[in-house]
Amino acid sequence: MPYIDDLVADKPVLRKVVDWLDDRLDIKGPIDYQLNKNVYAPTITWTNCFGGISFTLFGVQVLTGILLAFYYQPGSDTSYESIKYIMDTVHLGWLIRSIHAWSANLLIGTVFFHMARVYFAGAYKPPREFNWIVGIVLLVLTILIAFTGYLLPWNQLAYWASQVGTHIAGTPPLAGPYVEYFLKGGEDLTTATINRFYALHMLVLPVLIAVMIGAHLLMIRRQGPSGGL
Amino acid sequence: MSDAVSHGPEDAFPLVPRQRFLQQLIGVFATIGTIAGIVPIVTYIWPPKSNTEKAEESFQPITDDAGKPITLSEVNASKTPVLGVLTQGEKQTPVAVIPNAINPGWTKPAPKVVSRVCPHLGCTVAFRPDEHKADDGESFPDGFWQCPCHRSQFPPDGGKVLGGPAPRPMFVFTDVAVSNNDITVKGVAS
Repeated sequence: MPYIDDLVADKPVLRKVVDWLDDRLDIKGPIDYQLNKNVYAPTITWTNCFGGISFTLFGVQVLTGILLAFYYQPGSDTSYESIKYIMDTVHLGWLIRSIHAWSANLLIGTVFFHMARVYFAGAYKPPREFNWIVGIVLLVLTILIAFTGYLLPWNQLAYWASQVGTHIAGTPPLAGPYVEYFLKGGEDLTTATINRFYALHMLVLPVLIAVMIGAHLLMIRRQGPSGGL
Repeated sequence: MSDAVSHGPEDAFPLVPRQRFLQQLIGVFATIGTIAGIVPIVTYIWPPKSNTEKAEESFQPITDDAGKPITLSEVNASKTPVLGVLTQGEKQTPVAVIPNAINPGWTKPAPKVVSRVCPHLGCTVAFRPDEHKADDGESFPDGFWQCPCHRSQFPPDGGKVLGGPAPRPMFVFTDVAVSNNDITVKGVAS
């Protein structure tokens, strides 16, 4: 990667802008350092890409999710109608929603492959235990965000899948029934369930995932990729 | 700042014309790609025209299966809803005309016209003269509406849900007119 000064060397206007910003933010040094930091490469193969692919897909999910929220209306008598509206009436709505749905499926796959790669490469070993733990938290959060998103179309598949899922959450002894009651927002799967799943799906879980990804990246940047077995 | 310009190999080996050309080509493709990404998002966010704006703006007659218009006298002589089809350009909607005789609360001069498309999942609701007791316990001696797909039930005038998964009553056309004894309708069922 070239240094910033090299990039703007023969562009006087751009160089003035960069220098003006650097005088105020003192940012050129850190960016140059990050872009030119050496990484231990001999053991890096295409299988190391799946963390980055997962990160990219999460970005796609955030973007398309924001776009879907422009038209989606949570509620037992509006959810399905608004999805139908997105699919049939909104310009390219079918595309945005399908990207969101397919990327969600892919994301589960890439996250899982990423975890398998780290496991089989032994990359969870010291000094990277914390990153492994954060990764496991991210896996759970990803499954949760997929589960809460699955209910939102409020079609037969969504309804019965969530019925089964919340029921499974209710099976452990002692705490189980309370967890199920909490997830459903009552005795039954109703509009209250949609609303709390929607809040979890688009507010709570994305923020948690973003924070966790931040920690994940910070650690891998600091520790570097593992040398493999 | 010129002292900083000597880190990479770029200075030692100045770009030859074809490298410069390829760099510019990448720039062109990047610009096209960016535009191709932004345009769909903008058109997506832009509010689409609602269905009512695209609705058929002229009155169309309700016909039977053979294409013959349904007349007011035919409707008034019936004890059950009269089934018909509303043709608007390419689009055909199954509808029913409710005779005023079985729709006592109706005050408008033209009879009530409802869509036979089930508000649940879009099957065509059937009128069942042989059924007399709805799921909510009400009785209808001359029958009532029942969807063949998931058993949504409606009274003969379609004005409420008696049972089944339907989220709302049958759609009612607001613009109904009688011209030359034919029953005509304007607007699109939602």
